[in-house]
Amino acid sequence: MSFSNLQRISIHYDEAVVQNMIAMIKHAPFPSRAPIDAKEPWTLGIDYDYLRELKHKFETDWQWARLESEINRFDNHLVEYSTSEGDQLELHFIHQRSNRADAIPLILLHGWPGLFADFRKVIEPLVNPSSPEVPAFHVVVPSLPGFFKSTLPRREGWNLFDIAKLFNSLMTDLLGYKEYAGQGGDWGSMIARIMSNKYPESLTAVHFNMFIATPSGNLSELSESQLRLLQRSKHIGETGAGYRNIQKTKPFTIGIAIASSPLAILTYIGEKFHDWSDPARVDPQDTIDIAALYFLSGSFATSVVIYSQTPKDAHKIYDTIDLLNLQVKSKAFGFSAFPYEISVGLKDSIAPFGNLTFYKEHQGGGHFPALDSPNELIGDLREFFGKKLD
Amino acid sequence: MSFSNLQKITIHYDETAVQSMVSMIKFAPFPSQAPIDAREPWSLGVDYEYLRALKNKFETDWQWERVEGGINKFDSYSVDYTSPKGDQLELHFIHQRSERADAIPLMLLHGWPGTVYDFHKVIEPLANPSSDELPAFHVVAPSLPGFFKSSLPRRDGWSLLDTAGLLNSLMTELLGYKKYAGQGGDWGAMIARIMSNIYPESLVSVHLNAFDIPSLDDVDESTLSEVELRMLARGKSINETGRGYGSLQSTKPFTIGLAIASSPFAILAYIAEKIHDWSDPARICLEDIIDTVALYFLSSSFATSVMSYNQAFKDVSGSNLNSFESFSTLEVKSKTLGFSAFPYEIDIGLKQSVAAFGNLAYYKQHEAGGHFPALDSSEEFVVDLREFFARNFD
Repeated sequence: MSFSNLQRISIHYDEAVVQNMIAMIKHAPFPSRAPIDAKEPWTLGIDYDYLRELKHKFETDWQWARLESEINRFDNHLVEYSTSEGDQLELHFIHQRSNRADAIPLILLHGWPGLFADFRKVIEPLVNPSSPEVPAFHVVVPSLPGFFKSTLPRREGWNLFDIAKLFNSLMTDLLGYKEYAGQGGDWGSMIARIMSNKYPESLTAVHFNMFIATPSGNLSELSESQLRLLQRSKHIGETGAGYRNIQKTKPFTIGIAIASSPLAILTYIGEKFHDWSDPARVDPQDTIDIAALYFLSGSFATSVVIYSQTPKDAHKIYDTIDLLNLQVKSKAFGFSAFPYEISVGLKDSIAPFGNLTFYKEHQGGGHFPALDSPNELIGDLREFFGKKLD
Repeated sequence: MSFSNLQKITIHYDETAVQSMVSMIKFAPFPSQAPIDAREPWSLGVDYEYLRALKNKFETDWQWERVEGGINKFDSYSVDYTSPKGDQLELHFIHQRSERADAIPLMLLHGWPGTVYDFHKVIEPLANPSSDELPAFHVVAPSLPGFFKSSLPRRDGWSLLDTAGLLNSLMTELLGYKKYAGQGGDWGAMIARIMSNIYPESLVSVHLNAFDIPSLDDVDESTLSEVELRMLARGKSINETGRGYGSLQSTKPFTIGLAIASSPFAILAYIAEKIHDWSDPARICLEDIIDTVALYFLSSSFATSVMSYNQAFKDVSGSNLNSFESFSTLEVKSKTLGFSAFPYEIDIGLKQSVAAFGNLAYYKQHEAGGHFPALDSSEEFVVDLREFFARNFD
């Protein structure tokens, strides 16, 4: 397995391409009203008026130039990766070095429908805190294979364990960080968990904002906030899992279909960003930014493939025994519980999986804390990883 | 409830609208290769090469005029309807009268992702058979509410029960057919079954090509023939890997509906997989798929069509038909029930299963054909209806 052809890159899309995307949004077939009058907003999927406002914002005051410069504030790279099994892919990642000698190498892992850009509000504060008392980090943010500019190998069967190996090698081999810290949510949390299990001597401290663990113990004795997390998780499971069913069984269909229209991407992921985030904090501009990045990079269709490529059984994701029983072997294990997270991580349910030294419950924030609660996330990472330092 | 403002209509879309659709297909973002190399074609969803062939055909030699001419061969109508609950909608239906005095009134019901055009190959032979020995039919083929030119009421809760009431009224009140026959597949089969249960004195004889029972695991395999075992295996396989669309459409209809409706190419990719996977691959043709996609796109009905998955058993106060489970044990009370089993059907009806729910007077096992038999096996479909209804209507 090897890396080659490492390049520093700038993220750029031609004006014509950007204008074409906006024109497609503007002229996309869009009804003058919702299909029917939902009894309750958001109970039948994305709210029609919310979507109309998103569309309007996208067509009028959204600017690609702003997003492009935000992303290019960071050091973006592209590198080729190939394995001894013959898999080849191109990997995109941000590598932002701190000036601090005591900076901790930290890999941040996104999920779906997120992207590396989820972390753009937290990178700078983590890398260059305002005080030398506060921990600093060398931050690495890869795009998962199939997302943005990271490609997928052609082989059916490339799975989370392969990604975990890739990211560990990225940190230890390519970037030379023999010991590093990691943070993950959504798919990123599954990958970080595998890394903490397979490479604990390298990934020595790991933080999650999502952790799949079957609620256990005496559920009737849960605190009010823990109970709310549990109820939310159940509700999402009952009413919000359809996307997972179709993406794990027919990724080509839904992927290619949605990818063909920027309004389709905006609609499809707009519902997720709203439903999975703190509604008081979710920013429509963040949603449009991510939709634009998916469309411009042409990566939507490959992004959903991850749902169909799990190690054991392609038709069960979270039910795969291998993943559910994975122990966190890293020396330190931390968790931040945001109330609008979609998959519950009760303290007593996740504690058995490792040395849980940090569990913080928040009053606001959701599944994308780097977007909707960046200050809280930064605070938690500083507190947890800083504590870990001897 | 009432009907008003009945009008004979012609189906027409302007050349600019059609060209705009074809242009959107042509310029739709489409990758240069499949996302990854699937181990088996169609195992990860729509086959990339098949989709590319469809796209090419749509952009080059497909002609809307043929479809428009095809559908306008039949008498189309539009009528305003107000339900007992006060719901209002516009209903489109084809009403093709036979010249024969002894013709049987017959309602044909489509499903999703079908349209009333699914029946375009069978309406004429059914209405005007070549011989007086063969039964003739007055054919009524409605567009289900939310499909093609039939609108949905605004209310969140218009269920299959409501549609059943509407369609029975269409036949008995508006068209004056006090007793009639019915045929259905997909949603059409579910609606016909409900109608056979509630209005058996009107829907006196019903034919289905799709059927639902509580669980395929309940089937006693020891008595099944080889073809039946294959159908059972197919049904179970579809349930395991082919129902994601149903799960998404029943929980987030606005999301998937509005998203897919925004691009004719999205509709093409999404629907093509279903029509291909649910049909006899040796018989379904690209044209049938593109025609259907064009009808959905030009009528802007895709988003309302998927509402059916969310609304089917909703708000059914006064009835215990409030879930798929309660539906799947519903008895067919019409005097006679007929069933045609096509091997590529996905909602399989084994003889032993169907016979348990009604007076099964006719069961024909086919060696070819699928979920859209009027499209992929039109001749066999016509033969079966003639055979069944000739002996069993009234």
